[in-house]
Amino acid sequence: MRRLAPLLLVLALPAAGDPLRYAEDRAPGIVNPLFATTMAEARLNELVFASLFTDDRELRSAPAIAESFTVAPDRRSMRVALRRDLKWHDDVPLTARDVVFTIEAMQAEGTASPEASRVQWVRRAIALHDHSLQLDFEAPEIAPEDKLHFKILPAHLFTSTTVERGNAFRTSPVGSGPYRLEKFNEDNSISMRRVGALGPQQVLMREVADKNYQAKLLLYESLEALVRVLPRDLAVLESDRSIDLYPYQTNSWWYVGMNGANPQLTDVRVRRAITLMTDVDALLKPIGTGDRVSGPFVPSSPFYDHAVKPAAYDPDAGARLLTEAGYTFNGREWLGTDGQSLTLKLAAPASMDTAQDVVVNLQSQLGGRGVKVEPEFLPVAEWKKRVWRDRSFDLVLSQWSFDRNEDVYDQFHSTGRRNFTSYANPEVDALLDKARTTTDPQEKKATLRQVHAKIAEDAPMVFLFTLDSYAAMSARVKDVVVHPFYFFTWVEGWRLE
Amino acid sequence: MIALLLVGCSSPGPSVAPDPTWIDALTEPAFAALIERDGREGWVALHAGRPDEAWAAMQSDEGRHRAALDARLVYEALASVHTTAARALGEEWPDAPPEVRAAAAHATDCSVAPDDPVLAARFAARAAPDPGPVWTLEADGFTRTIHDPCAEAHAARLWAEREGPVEGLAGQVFGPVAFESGPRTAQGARDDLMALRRQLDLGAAARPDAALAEDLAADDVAAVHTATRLAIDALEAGDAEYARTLLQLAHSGGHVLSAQAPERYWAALAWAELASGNPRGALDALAVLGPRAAGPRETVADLAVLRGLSRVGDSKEE
Repeated sequence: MRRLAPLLLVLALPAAGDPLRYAEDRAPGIVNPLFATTMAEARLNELVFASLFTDDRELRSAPAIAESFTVAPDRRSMRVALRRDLKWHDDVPLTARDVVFTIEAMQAEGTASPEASRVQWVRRAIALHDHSLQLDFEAPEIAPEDKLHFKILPAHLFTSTTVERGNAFRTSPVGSGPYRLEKFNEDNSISMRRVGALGPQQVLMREVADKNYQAKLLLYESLEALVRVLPRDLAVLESDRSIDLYPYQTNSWWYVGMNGANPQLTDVRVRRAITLMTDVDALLKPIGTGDRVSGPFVPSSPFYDHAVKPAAYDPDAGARLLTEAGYTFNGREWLGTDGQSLTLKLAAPASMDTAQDVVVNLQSQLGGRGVKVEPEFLPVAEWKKRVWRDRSFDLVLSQWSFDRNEDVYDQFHSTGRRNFTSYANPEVDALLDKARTTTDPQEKKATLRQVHAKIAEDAPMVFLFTLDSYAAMSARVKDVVVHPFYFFTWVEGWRLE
Repeated sequence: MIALLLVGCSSPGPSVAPDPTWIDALTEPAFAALIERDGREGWVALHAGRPDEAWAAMQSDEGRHRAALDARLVYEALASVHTTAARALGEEWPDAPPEVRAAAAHATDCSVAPDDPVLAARFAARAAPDPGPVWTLEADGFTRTIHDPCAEAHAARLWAEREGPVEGLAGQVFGPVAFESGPRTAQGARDDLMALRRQLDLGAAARPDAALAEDLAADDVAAVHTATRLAIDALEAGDAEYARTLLQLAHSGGHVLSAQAPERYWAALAWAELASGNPRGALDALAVLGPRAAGPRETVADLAVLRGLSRVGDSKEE
């Protein structure tokens, strides 16, 4: 029960017009929606950039940059009329050319955008006039507006639709969303200022890696919002009546990915052995509460196959599998047929203290069973290079968050843009393709349950858990409704008192 | 700005006075008499938010009547979830199989015998809630299961038949407290919850012996039951955003069944999420209820998948 704390404090309170300050574990590595790979980047993009359509408060597609649209009778094309009053934050008018440029840049092979699959369904985009465009589709579309939620970029700030990650836009981004990015500050924070008349006048994103410290900053009114609070920090926040806690479930799950391109990990027996030697409950206990997952969907998902149980902790069975796979245990470590020790480098994000807890625990568990683990805590830029681009790792600890559609195509299809574990199974590819094209929801549900079971059997990852998590908000922020994935979608309805 | 403030005493919201509630009676002989009459097990189950278990364990008619009342309320909320989802599925799925359409038609009024012969046979014959599917159909490479959207409404009626007179403390303990709510907006929900907790705090401060109330988390139990009652009133009036916000803020103890998050809370939260356009969010709440919510869960899952068919999902690293 929350208790009144009769505590007299002298605090520095923000005046009206002061920023709404929120914390992220790690600052966005890049502010360019073409290359967004993290939730921190997605949340920031939600503030700075706009899309043709967005979710209304009942999660239906509602026009944003678009004003209206018509779909051709054969459902193979659509025309979109744009609002005429829109400008980029540098005062240049927003036109249909910007939309066409964005689609072409996402599709360009040279750009290698991790968001490319969001526009694969568009065969061609044509600007008809300044404020109207036509989209031709690869196949008939039932509700194409539902797919037009990606962020639009300003064509006038790029010289080609082939955009490199290092493009100068990343340090001076210009959007058309509710907030203009004003400044990257020396302490890694980012200052934004409201463009229109609604919402808090300013927003400040602060990077605070230590979750416990985030909670203290909120308690001492040096922040107004935490986007992710771990259960272990909840008690202290619950006891403060000036703070509200919102469930912020984004269908997230933690995993230890195994690089399928690593010869030591191509043998499914080795991957299963590592799974069996991992005591997942012991990894979860120190960092919070949640549910074990047995595959690539969370237990509440329509696509979770409940017949597939999370792997039991059975290190002896794991040892037998390693022996079957040709490894020999010499009392200290496992040696392959070439005499090489089974030693695996485990990459994890440097800025997540929670990840560090899990890594150290896992290193101890596997090390105790003769599998050597060498942790590497990588800064954001190095993470993107080593994990996403070069795929240079043996094991990787990370967490995927999915919107309500829970589309795992990019993670597990052999052509997926987020498949950095190089997982490939033609049967799974076929099922994922089928799930994308069927118009029968019950068929899609059944198909993805098969995907869940097949991926669990292939063990390309040690599927760990989904954590209970909450967003915390100061009571000074009024009229808050949090979007279940992007968080800030409805920020223009918020007020800061 | 430098401000001097007394933390916890400057919150906005309607003014409230301490309200005598069942919490104050926990240390009185009347509560001990209830436990003596019905046995500890029944009231433990009711406190834990599991009324059907409580019904089986209660040793007096009045104890069973109270448990039946609470069980009916759980199933009524689940019935709202299931019938709402089934109707939406039938309306929004252009090529829905005839069985889905039949289920949707039945969901419009669960008190009337359905036209579909399979559903009609179930309607006529059933004597107890059946969580299994009505149809299991082999389709093109997969199995289609369709549930009776009125199974929970029927279960609620069965529980209603077990209800009877229940007086005084037996009808109040581990339930909501009197509270006057404000505007039904998202902000109104925050203000109401703050005012409700302040009301309960004032009651706690005036309590000479608070040990038992604290051990039973009585204020939290009262808060969540009161919030659930307010939310259901709001849902029945169409104010889904108020209901969802109120329920989301009323509990932060994870996705588990507990005294502070009883079955009725999760059923109401599922209803609020569904009514707010988020069937996927409703599934998070229904998952807590286990096998008893199997039917609503599958129907809501079908609706969630249907609404995402034309979308390209987004995913990111946390």
